[in-house]
Amino acid sequence: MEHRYAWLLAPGLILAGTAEFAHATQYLSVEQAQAALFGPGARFERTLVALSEAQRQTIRAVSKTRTPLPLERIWEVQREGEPAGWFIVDEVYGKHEYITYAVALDLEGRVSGLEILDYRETHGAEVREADWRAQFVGKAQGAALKLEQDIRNISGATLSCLHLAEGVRRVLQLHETALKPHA
Amino acid sequence: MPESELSRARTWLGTLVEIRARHVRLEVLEDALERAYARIAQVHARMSVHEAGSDLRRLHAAAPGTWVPLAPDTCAVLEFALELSRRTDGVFDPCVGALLGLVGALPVSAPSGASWRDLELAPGRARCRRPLLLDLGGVAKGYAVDQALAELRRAGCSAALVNAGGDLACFGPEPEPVHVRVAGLGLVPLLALSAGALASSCYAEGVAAAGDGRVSALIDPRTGAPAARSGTISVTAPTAMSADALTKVVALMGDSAAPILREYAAQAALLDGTAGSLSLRFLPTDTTR
Repeated sequence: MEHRYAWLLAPGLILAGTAEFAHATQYLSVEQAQAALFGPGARFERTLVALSEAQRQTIRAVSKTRTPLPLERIWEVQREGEPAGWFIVDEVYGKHEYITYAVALDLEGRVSGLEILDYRETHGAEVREADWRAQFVGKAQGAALKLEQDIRNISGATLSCLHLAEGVRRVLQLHETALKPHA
Repeated sequence: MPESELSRARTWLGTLVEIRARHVRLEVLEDALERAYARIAQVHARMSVHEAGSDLRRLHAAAPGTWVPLAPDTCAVLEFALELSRRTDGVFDPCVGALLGLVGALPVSAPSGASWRDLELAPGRARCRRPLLLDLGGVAKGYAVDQALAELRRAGCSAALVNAGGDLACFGPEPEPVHVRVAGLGLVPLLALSAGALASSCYAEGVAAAGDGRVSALIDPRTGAPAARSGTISVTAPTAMSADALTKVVALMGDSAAPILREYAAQAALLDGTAGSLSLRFLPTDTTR
């Protein structure tokens, strides 16, 4: 397999300050996520949900997620005039990550799909981003490289999956408590 | 010719898997992304220790001495893992190590004493000589990344990148700048990658953070005890599977990992930082590019 690369750093670099800068990626808009999760031809009608305090407590109790409940971003989905499930846009955050995602629920309230809409990371930084980057530009060897581009690729684990799992757990409880048609 | 570019992020393999690709035809590109994710789902189903019916679960459940038929994907990963175990004389061992340090419940209690030598591989099947627990962890994740990228290449994408919780691989005409996290410093631009893979592990007090909130202690199979390690280790290699596995080899062997890195056509960067300075070493030490 081909392997072409160039290290951007050399030993002995002294850096000014610390820096983890904000970077963001938008993968899908709400409309694109609707199409991706339910296919073309599905119809989406926003549903307004009001919860009692008891219902809120029940929903809150199952998950560590503390972002506001997505009560204003719930859509009932129909295909050819028949109910097909729900489409819900929710947000979770970790220490530094902020993720907007959409989850598709089928008629039984099971997750039939999940798409990330936006991913943002924010951190404090002691130096201006331009000054931080300037320490590296010029040390990059070989291929032309636009370091002034937004940070696109990070190697090293994050905790996103855990936060998303907590968010989905809460959405499932929201369905159980407030969306599911009760006999 | 104008190209379309798509990027998606979905949860697989216990982490967020981002795929980005370019193709002249949008409909082919959309299909290619779905195929790439489907490939990842397949690998996940076969090798997850948490999925009922996975090859790994069936292997764990089988009585010692019983041959267990395995999917080609699983065989490929086991073959790689056992070969690396052989070459490192057990410093890398999928039967020991990360498993022991996992926080959270495992399907069975871990037996002691089993090693990679207790796993026997034959075409399409494997058997254990004694009860053992395999954690293919990062190796399976890296394999999934490689397979997903191969789908995108097969579909005719001019460029593509797959990033599974920091294990990433790409191809394309332009180099992709990759940043790594160094504790105490932040995000540091480390590598311009045009083709191949990069994997990184960030250690603090001998513990590595995994993408799904678990922490795994770096257990040295030679001592059975946690190995002290701090800082970030990044390995670039032709495949994500080897890059990921080699981060553990470098973490445990330090400088003596250099010959292994050469065998796998890989290079490593060891980074440590505090505010104001970055300590950086390459392995093999004569790395210049």
